Amino acid sequence: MNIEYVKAKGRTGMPKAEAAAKLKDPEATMRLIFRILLIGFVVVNLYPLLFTLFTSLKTTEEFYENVWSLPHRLFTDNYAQAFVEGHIGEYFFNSLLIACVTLALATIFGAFAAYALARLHVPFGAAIVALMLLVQILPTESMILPLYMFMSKIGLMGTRFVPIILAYLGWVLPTTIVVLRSFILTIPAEVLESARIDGSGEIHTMFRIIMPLTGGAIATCTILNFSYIWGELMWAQLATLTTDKGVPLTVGLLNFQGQYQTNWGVLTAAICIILIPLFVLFLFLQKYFVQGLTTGSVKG
Amino acid sequence: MSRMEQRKSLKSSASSLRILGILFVLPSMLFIAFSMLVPIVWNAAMSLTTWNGMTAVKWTGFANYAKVFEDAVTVRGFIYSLQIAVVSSALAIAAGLLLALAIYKTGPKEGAFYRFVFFSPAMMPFVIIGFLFVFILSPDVGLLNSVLGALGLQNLQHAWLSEPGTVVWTIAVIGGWRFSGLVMILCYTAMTTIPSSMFEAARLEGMGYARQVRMIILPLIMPTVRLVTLLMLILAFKTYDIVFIMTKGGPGDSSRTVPVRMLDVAFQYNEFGYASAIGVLLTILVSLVIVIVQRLARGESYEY
Repeated sequence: MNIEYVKAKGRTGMPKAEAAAKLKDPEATMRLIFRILLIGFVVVNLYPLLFTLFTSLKTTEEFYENVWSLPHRLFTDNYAQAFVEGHIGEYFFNSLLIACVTLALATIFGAFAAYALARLHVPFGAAIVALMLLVQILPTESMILPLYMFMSKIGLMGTRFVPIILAYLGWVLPTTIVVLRSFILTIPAEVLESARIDGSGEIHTMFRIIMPLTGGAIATCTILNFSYIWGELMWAQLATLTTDKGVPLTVGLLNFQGQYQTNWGVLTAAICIILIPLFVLFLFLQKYFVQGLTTGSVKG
Repeated sequence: MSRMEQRKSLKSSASSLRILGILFVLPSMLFIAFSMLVPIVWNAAMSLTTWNGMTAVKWTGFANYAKVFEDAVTVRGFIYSLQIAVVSSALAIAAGLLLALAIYKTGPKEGAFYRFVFFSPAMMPFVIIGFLFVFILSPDVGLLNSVLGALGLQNLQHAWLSEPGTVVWTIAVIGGWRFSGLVMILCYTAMTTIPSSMFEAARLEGMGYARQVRMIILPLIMPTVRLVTLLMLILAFKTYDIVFIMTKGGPGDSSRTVPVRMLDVAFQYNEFGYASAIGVLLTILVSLVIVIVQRLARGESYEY
């Protein structure tokens, strides 16, 4: 009997006698090895998270008594302490506000610019696109010092949220424009032509035709930019050097770390407060996360 | 409408499209100029001056650049940054590729679960990852040392983040772990586009998976791997967040990467000109590495 035939017949419904032969089959052995490898890596990925979750639900005594034990009961004081005394709630809100404003502005301005660069006649359009591609890969380190000095000179530094949002907006726009432009280029020119012939103004076209058609690309960009803004630390730190108002989550966590040192219960509770919503979001928007982080994940 | 008029109206609509185009692009360009283009030029100019942030700016030419090479802490910073970027990229690519090949072999159903789990670190902010690992790697109660202790491997226990010998490697491995999921997803996606007909001949000849990987899969996804390599290097050169959260550059200076050093120079010692020069050199280093890798990795891509 042809062994290849058995293999090709597939992994399902193999009779018992052949299942024994399957063990000797190098393909099956390999699959088994791969599976062990994968499951091992799953454990490496998930166990630390579970360990963190368990620790956050234990009292300090419980933790030092036995690091490994499961929490005896649902102890949520750590969460309350992190949320209220540690100001995690406030930082969370600040970050959310910064992200929403930046993302809304970036989407609107970015979509207009992308549309113009893809389908209208912009002088030096090609050069602008090339410039956008180039500046994406430049490290932020090459621009934050002058930006800091300029913003403190014009008195923006003390203001809440403004310096952070202004900088992020400029930083996420190039990628947004590049991604949206390449998507708009895939919309057939005839669609826009016919809209034009029917007397649709460009702004009308923009909101009625382009925006709805680019929905997926916009979602992708939004996720990509969101994960950048949500995790950015360096500029957030500089922008809040002189104030403790409007501090975003990243900087807030650092303050928090300084405040609680090795109070692992509260620290792990803070980690969970931030990670759980992210995971829920990720579970539902996985497709866009993957697209977002893979299409243009240059800033990150 | 006569032909003349028609042409006229076309012309006017073309110029109105041009004006509209400029109007549409302008706001974005203003924001980008404000927070990227102008600061980059300004930074380059500032690197040629000496300035403490208060008194008058003094033009000193390339003195700051000469200073970088005499300053051992900064030079080591460049080495640390390069080391972290290269090691974590290499690890991420090796691990990501292996995981993608394993998932490809075990089939799409289980694969969806694995992909979800492995990709999740890529969406966690580095600050959180740093935080998590400070806890896991803490010398006394940390998970890693506890596991090593439980396995009887006490001699492998380290104070991972406070020993000069291990700290940079530890950070590089964490970076590699974080990005391996991203590499995995990109490579796996490329693999799923390979038509199954490519494997028929291989199957008929009884070619094993290892040979299929070498002869079919790897050559076909090579363009993706090259792209991923560049992407990884760009991402891995961002060595501020994770270092600052976990070690703040310590112990001593043994993990003081370029960005951490740069901000120290600027805000602790008020040497803004010198700090700008460090920023410019980092930009040059990143660009150089990207160009070199692009050259080295140049190769054929197959049409299929």
